[in-house]
Amino acid sequence: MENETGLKIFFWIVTAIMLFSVITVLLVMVLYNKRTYRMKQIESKILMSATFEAERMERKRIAADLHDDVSGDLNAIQYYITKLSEQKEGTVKKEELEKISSVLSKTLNHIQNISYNLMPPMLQDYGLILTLQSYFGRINHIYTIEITQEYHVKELDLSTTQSHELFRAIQELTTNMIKHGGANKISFSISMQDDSVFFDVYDNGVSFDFYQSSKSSKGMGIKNIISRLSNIDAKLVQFPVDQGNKFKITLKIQK
Amino acid sequence: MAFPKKRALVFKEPITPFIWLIFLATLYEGIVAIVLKTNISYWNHIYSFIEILTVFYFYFKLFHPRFKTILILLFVLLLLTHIISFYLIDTSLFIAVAVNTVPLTSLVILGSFWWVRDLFKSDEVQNLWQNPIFYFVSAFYIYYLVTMPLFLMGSFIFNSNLYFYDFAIVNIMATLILRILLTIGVWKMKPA
Repeated sequence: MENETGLKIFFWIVTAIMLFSVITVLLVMVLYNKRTYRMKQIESKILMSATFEAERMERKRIAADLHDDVSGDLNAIQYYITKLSEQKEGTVKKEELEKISSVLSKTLNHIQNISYNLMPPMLQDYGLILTLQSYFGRINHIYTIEITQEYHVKELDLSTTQSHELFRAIQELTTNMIKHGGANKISFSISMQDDSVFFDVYDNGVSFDFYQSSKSSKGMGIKNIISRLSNIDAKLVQFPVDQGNKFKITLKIQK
Repeated sequence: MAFPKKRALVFKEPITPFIWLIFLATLYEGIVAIVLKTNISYWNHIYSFIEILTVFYFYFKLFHPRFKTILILLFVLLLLTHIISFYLIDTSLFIAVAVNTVPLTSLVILGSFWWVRDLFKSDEVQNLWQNPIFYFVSAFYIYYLVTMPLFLMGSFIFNSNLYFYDFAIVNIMATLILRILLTIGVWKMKPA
């Protein structure tokens, strides 16, 4: 009889342990999912503010470019034309016309630069690979930097949005490598496996933790990269290397 | 169909040896104990030894290279208790099983605690429903926590001949939970 009561109690203890263990697992799941949801909400808020900030900065940059370069050049042209109109007929000097022509070609150059920075005209007509080749050619010309490029694919079947976001993300990443990381060597490659395209970027500059930097308030450019890549469902992974930084952007192409 | 065969034999995932053990034990117990009706007390001992190895392998590989010293100490303890339990088979199989259960359950509880702590510390797991390790850790945690008191009191339950089937049902339920969670976990595993 004593044994029976003891076993009965023991049976309920074991049942209680079973319930307890199951409830613990469910509790961990609920708490973790709640936490992840809250973190995702915060993350999306940060990304949204990064997007707005990037847009504001872009507007500021375009306004500055228009004001400092184009507006200045147009003012100069206006000045020359006013000077010319004040002159008597038939006394226009060739030298002054050449000045106007030179300022006009400078203005044209500035407008082309502004347009390129907004959206490279090549992107839509010639695709991402040629645009990237042209971009790396440009930065190679501007900075003293060694850029190694490897293209294991001839062409990529990407939408304009995908091409644009990828281009801007790679542009931001390489600019950060040069400006903030002081890199003098960058290697870039595009490869493809099954239905995924891989963009590998490696530099020899100052190492930094991409995801830690994205959490700090200063990492607007990095948040911008995350925002652009999440916009096209691409993933960026940073690999640990002895020197510099190594990144892989993966984009799945839907066939 | 060479691909799945090759993948199954590569122990890339920490759980693979344990899954193999469950599969082989089910086959062996089904044939030897149910069909041939042979005594399986020595098989139980071999099973519990491989069980120790596979469960240890799971946590060792899961946390590698961390907690190496603690895990190795626990492994030595597991081996010692297993050797002791081997001498107890002839006295009582239940006592032998009970001696084995305590350190193994301690390893499972400690491993589960570490894993949950790591989970909340890092933000790596985006969706717990899609994470196979979550299912494996939960499966071990529930199974060993429930069966430990059963195996500890096994001798008493068996000899008193009271509520034996009720306890057997609890054991079956724990085993069922273990296998269901393992199946879901394997289902959620990504191709190697």
